[in-house]
Amino acid sequence: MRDDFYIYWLCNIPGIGYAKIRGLLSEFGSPEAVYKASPDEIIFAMKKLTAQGVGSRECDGQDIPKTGVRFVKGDDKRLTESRYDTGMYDSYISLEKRGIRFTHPGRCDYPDRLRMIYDAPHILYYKGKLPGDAPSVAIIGTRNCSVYGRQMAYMLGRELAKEGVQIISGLAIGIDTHGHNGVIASGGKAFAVLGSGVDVCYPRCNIELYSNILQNGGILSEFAPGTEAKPGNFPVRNRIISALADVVVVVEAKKRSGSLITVEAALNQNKDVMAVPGRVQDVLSEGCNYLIKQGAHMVTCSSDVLGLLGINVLNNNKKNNFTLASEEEKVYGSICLIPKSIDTIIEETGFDAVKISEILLNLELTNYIEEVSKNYYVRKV
Amino acid sequence: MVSKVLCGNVYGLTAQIVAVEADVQSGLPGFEMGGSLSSEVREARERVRVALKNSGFAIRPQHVTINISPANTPKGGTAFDLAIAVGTLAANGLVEEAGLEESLIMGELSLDGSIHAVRGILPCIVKAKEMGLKRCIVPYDNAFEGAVIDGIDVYGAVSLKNVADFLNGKADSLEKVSHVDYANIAKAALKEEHSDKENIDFADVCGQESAVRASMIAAAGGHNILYMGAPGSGKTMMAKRIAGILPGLSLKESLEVSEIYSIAGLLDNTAGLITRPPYRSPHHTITLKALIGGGKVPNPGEITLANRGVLFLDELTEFKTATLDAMRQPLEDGRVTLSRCSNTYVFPAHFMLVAAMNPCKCGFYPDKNRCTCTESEVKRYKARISRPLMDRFDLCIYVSTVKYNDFSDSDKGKKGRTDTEDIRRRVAAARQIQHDRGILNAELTKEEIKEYCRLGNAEKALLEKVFEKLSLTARGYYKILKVARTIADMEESRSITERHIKEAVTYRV
Repeated sequence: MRDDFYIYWLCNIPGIGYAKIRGLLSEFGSPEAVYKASPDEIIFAMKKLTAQGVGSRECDGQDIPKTGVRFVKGDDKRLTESRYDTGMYDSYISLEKRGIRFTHPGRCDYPDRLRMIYDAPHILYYKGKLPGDAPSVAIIGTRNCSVYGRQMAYMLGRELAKEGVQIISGLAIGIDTHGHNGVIASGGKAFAVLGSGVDVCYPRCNIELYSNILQNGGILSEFAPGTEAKPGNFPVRNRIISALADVVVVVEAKKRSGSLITVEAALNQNKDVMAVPGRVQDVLSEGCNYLIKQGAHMVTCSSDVLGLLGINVLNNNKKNNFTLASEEEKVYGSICLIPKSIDTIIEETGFDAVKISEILLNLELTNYIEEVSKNYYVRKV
Repeated sequence: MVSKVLCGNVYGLTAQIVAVEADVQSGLPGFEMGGSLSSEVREARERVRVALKNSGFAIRPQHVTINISPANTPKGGTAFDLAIAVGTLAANGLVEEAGLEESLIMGELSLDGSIHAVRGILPCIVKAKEMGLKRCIVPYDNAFEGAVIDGIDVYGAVSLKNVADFLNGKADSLEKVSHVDYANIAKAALKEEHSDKENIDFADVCGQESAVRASMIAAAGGHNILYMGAPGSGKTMMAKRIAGILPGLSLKESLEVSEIYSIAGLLDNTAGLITRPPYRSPHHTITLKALIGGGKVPNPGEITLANRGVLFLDELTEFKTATLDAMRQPLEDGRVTLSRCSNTYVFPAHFMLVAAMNPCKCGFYPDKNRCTCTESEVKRYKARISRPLMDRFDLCIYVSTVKYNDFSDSDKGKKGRTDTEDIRRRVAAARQIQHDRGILNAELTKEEIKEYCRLGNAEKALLEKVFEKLSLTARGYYKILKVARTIADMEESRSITERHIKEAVTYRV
């Protein structure tokens, strides 16, 4: 129990970041040892670590990273003085009141998937639950998604969660939100990794989803509670998203997209990457199509993902067994996954405005299509 | 000696016959006026004095007192000049008083004694007729406004001298306006409007069948309609054509509209009356007061000028929120109540609201390949229109961008084009049915909906399904019924069928 406080203390000292903590832990062995070390020992350790140097050195034609950390003047003071900072202990005590817990590699509830990675977080705050051992999939993609991306993310989230898969995402607007909404709809487990403190809902408009996730899943972050979202935090948290997942599914991404940072992290961590294909001209699918071209698995339905996870599902492909009247089928055939306006449908099918509105409502009421914007229709996935 | 001349006064939209009393007495020369007069009425003093002199009347130095009674109603405008001049002459014995008590005399004087047009002649003539007066002497330029009013003689006056001669018994010194039938004016106006094919023909609209259809329904039932669409898709063009397919005004409606226009000084003298539904399209920088009416003694705003016609608001999202929301109550009640310390004014505002807006800031949503807005930007853009105002639109339709083929290929274009004459006929027929019923579909109340929009079991089941599936509100439900009623009326069907409801649902906001 005391150990929890030592790690909390170590991770909350201003000016002492990820690399410095790692260096100190490697020197002293445990957070408790760092806490109890005398000022002289700390100065000695810091000097030693700084002397090892940073960057990498070449050895036998290979780049070997140096193990050192560059400590600066005053780091030792900050470390020793923070031991007497009673505010730190108060905030540690108040965590529980705020419904925030944390775990660290020294605890057995620390997710095993995180232990596997090279740069595992020293501390992981969470609200709700931590991800379990069940298969897990990350659904990621652009914030500014199309209706197609929205539907695919929602469908994947819903269908995968039905099979007991945990869905990891980043609570961003767009694909992340729609993927998790799908999970919530089927009552599955959703886990969101934030680039801010776990008690800071960013973006704020997702507060409803935030609280829905807490019902069954969890909100995780390696940043201290109260941390505001900063642009630099997001690439860092992306490695946790990919680490917590067995498979990373990119639903929609532009060619230069933050999602591709997560993909890179996933590849470094030896995870499978899957992508949802899109039309060749679609800007929003360029990144996905590129990934597929590079060898990523293609996702056209949820069983593609489940198959990769080794979960076998009965093929209940109930789509396409039409019981539509011929007129309705003609209109349905004209509507695709890209929003189409009522006038275009009229032009393509040749029905008049009166007839078409009747057929469109029939299709909408029978769940075949959806009106995404005024008089714009898409197929339902 | 006191003389009394009758004149018309308009405050707000109310016309009132007032008496201009003039008294002359010897003593220190002076010219006093009283009776809640605004500054332009007070300025009459100089105009009258000089005009009298220049018309050849020799007035000796004396003390003149003018009172306009009732003295407690506010008086503005320049229409009192002529009455004041005539009153002064009568008090001096230069004009016979015999005919004055049954004459309405209005007009603005110029320094040389000629008479200029003034605002508000029409409502004053109507009021004079109600009061049982026999004749009206009004500026020649306004005289045609009175042409359709039966039972009162209207004379057009050019100069003060002529008026004085006329009152002294020379009947031929003023020209009497010959009576014109309302039907003739209406026919002439319709003909003129139809000749202006540029602006009103639906044949120019190509490839936007659903929008034309929705416009037709809106016109037939008097429903408020909102067009959404990308920039350059023809929303404005469509809206302009709506006024053109509305049926003409009845004499009662025409008088109501023309009186407002007369007061606003917008009545075209050559036409006499306004017989076609007015079309107003204020720019989006319009102020709240210009829209709903304002001023110490309020002037009619755009919503009142659009009474019995169409108010078109282009780029709806660019209007100030407060300005738009001020329309909510008038839209519901068909009139606007403006309260001032001194008085409360009620102006009619029975208009059909037609509005156009883009679906997002760049205008291309939901075409994600062209639209650069984020989801939240789209939401924020739409939130500029308050929900209660949005709820007042009965129909909403997406106007899609015209494709090159639609207007380049003339053969194909012709086939899909709509015959404006046919639309007009169908709208008129649907309106006739509503007229027989006694109320426009757009103005049906909940009780009336229950009475006139009876549904069969199949229809009820459909509506229940729609209500659940599309999560409608109660207001949305009634709007669908109203629109379905109009669609049924257009087909001259007594009952509302499933088909009518389905079409109405497509046009929901």
